[in-house]
Amino acid sequence: MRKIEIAGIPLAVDNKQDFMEWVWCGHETEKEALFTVSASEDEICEEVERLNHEFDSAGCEGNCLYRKVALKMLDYDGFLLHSAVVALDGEAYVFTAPGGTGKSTHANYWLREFAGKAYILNGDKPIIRKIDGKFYACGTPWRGKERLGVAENVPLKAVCLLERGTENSIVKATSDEMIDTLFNQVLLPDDAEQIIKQLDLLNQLVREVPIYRLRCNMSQEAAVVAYKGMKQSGRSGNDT
Amino acid sequence: MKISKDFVLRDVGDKTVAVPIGKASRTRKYVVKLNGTAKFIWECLAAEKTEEETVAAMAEKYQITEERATTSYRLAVQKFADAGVLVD
Repeated sequence: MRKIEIAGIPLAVDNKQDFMEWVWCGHETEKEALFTVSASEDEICEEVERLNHEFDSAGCEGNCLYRKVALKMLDYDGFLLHSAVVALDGEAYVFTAPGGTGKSTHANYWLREFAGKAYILNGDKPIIRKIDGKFYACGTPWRGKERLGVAENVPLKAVCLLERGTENSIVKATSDEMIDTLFNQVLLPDDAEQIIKQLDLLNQLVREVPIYRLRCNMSQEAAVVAYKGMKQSGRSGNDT
Repeated sequence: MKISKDFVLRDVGDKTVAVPIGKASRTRKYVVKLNGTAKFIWECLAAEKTEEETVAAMAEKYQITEERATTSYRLAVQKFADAGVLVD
C-alpha cells in the first residue's frame, strides 16, 4: 500500500502493478490515509478494452485510479479538471480545453516568456480544490505524456478556456462558454449525491474565480496576451 | 408526460443545468442548460402540472400573455424531449 498526498488530502493507493517511481514523486507522505483507492482486475480489463488495447494494463490501472481519486476528492471540495496549469508569482493559471487544442503548447510559451519564474504545476489532470474558502490548483501524479508537474497547491488566479484562432484575444467567458467547456473537462459522477457536489463546486468556481476565453494562434505572443488579460483580474469572479 | 427522475437540477452561475444520473449517464452525458424560464417550466413538469396550469403560472409570474407563455412552454418541452429528459 502506497501512502501519498494530493491537494492536501492523504490517501493510500493499493495498486496491483508496479508503477515507475517518478509517478509518485513529491506526493509521498507518512500521514494516515483518509481513504484508499484501488482498481479491480475487471475494471482494469474494461479500461484496456475501452482504449482498444492501445495502452498497457499499468497505464489503464493508472486511469482507473485517477478516476477514483477524482471522485473521492468531491468529498473534500475538490474535483479533477482536465487542463494544463502554469504557476507564476505564487498564482496558478489554468488552461482547459478538449485534447489536442494546444494546452501544453500554450503552457510552454509561458515557460519561455517567463523563463525562470513560471513552471508547470500540472500538465494534464490537476485537482481544483477549495481550501479554507479559497480555490487552489493542485498537482497530481497524473501529469500527461510529457510528465510535467510538481506536487504543490497554488492559489488559483484564473481559468482560461482555450481555443484556436487566427488572432490572439482574451475576453471574459460567457455563461454558456463556461458550462460547455467545463462540463466536458471534468469527471461527471454517476451518483446523484456526487453529481450535486460537483455541480456546487463548479457553481462556486464560476462565481468566485475569473474565467476567460482565449483564442490563440499558437504563437509566443499568445502567452503575453493571456497573461495581460488575466493578471488584472480581481477576486470578484464573473458577472453571474 | 413528465420529467425523468434520472436528472439532477442545479444552478451553475446564472444558468441551471440538468445532469443525467445512474444508468442514463452511462450512455449519455448530456448536460441540459436552462435559463430562468426553462427552469420554471422544468419545475412545473416535475410537479406534474398540466400545460394549462403551467402556462397560467408563467403568465402570472412573467406578466405575459398566455399565448406567449404557451409558445415558450412548447419550445421548452421540445428541447426537453430532444434531450431525452421526458418520460411518459
